[in-house]
Amino acid sequence: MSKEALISISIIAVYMISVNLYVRHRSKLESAGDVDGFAVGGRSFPWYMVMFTILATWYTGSCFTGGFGYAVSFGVVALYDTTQVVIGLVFLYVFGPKIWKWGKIYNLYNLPDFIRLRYNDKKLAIVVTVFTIAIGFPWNMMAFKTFGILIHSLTYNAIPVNVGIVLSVIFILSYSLRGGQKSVVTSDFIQGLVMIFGSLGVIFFLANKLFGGFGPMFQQVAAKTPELLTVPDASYWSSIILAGIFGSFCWMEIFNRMFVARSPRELKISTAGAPILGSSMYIALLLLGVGCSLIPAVAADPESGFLTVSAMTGGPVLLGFVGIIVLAAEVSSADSGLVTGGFVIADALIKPFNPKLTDEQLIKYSRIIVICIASLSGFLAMFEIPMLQKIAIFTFEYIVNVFPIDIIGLLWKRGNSKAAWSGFAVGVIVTTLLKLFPAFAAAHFGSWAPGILGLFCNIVVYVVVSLLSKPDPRVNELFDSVKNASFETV
Amino acid sequence: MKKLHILRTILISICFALMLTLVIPPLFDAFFNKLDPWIMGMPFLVFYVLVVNIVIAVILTILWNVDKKIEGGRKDE
Repeated sequence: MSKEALISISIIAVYMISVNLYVRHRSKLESAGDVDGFAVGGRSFPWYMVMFTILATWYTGSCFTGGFGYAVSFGVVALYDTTQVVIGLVFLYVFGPKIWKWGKIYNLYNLPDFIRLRYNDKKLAIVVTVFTIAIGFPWNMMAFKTFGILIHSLTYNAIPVNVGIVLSVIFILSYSLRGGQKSVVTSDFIQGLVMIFGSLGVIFFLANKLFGGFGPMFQQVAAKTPELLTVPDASYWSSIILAGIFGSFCWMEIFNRMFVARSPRELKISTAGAPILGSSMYIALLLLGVGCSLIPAVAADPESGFLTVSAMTGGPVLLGFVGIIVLAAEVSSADSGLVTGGFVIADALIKPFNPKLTDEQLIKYSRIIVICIASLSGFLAMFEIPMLQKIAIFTFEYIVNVFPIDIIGLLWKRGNSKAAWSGFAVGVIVTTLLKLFPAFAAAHFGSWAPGILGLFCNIVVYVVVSLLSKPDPRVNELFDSVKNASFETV
Repeated sequence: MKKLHILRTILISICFALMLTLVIPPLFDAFFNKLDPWIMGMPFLVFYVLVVNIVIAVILTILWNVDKKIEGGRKDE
């Protein structure tokens, strides 16, 4: 291994070991059967930790690889990602406190619990759980792929990508198994700080070093590849923004984030503060990506581009620091996804068939499942996978079909189980058919993403079936209890 | 109190209106999806997306303060 590789990997190793030890020390569960701590961090976190865990979960490491690469290859259309996040945070501000209240009153841990309660339908909860986990699985693969690419680049290609993937699986499991979401939120706070403030500094430094600033950078892009500075297809752009907004609330790790705050007030403050930090960082990163399309080494391997320009500009020290940033971003998303998935599978798919399961056993099963998911996704990440951002868009197009079940179900009393089933089935079928027959889709719907068209059909069916059914008095009682509950809000 | 509720509605409506400018293709293409004019050294589309993000972030901060006053008013009642 070269001297440069040793320098950069040493910086990373010191950081990883320090964070690991700190998180393990701070996030021990109250007891072996502390399900509240494992699943939702004890619903005890203050607003600033909630804010950074939202940011850290929402902005993944693949922003720095897949997102950056997408901007290199396709230009400003990549800004769809930051736009959908900031608008999604508006929705989170408005709906998040309502979801928190449901969680607090009915002791909910995640989406399947809400579905079981709201629709009185265990099978629907199981199907949505399996669907969401299956659709979300590629994100775990992307996370570990990013780790592999990162470690490969940081060691100046001395450590193969696949070995990097194995190391990252071991690292994440070493602390997330200990305290579940308690560990995750504690870790996310640190990772979020590093990701946001570290990357802002680096991005502006790189823009100045490479181009003389963002202004000159735009001038150079406009002179050579002006097409990268506008969106070539407005319908496609609109649909991927909408898929991102609606889909965000269907990911269980995001839904779960609304339960970790200690009050609706803390959730609101964290949501209000998140966009300024998050969007500043991500917009700057993506715009830098557009500029870096002019650099041949970046254009040749867009998804490693951010690491490439860091090494070019600041050698192994900057590369090591940037490695920490990307690692922080990816760890903070991957860990929440894994722990959420592990607990949800145990709680929603194992416990219903084994009601005598104790809390201790539930946590034990959750841990085993986390290990299985991490190992399988790490293994699959070793194979060649398509452009990361295209996988991301694909998953959002399917996950949006959960939106009527969770968000419309949260806001509207008339929604019922029949409506949920029929809307969901229609939405998924329409999305799949339009994807299988792209010529038909293009001829009739232009470049609108199949997922958004599927969601539209889903919502129509959900509403119509609901209105044709009798209102459920049980649901009225649920809504009244939530409405009448008083918690400190602001 | 009523004025605060109206303000709250207006602020949320502005957020959604800004979203609509980006997701209605004919509107987006006609007014925002272009290079010129360049503003503060940025092509127009980049400038507009940046403005939308900043405005929404600022609105959320104001919204939180408005909600705080509304809840304060409710406690007094």
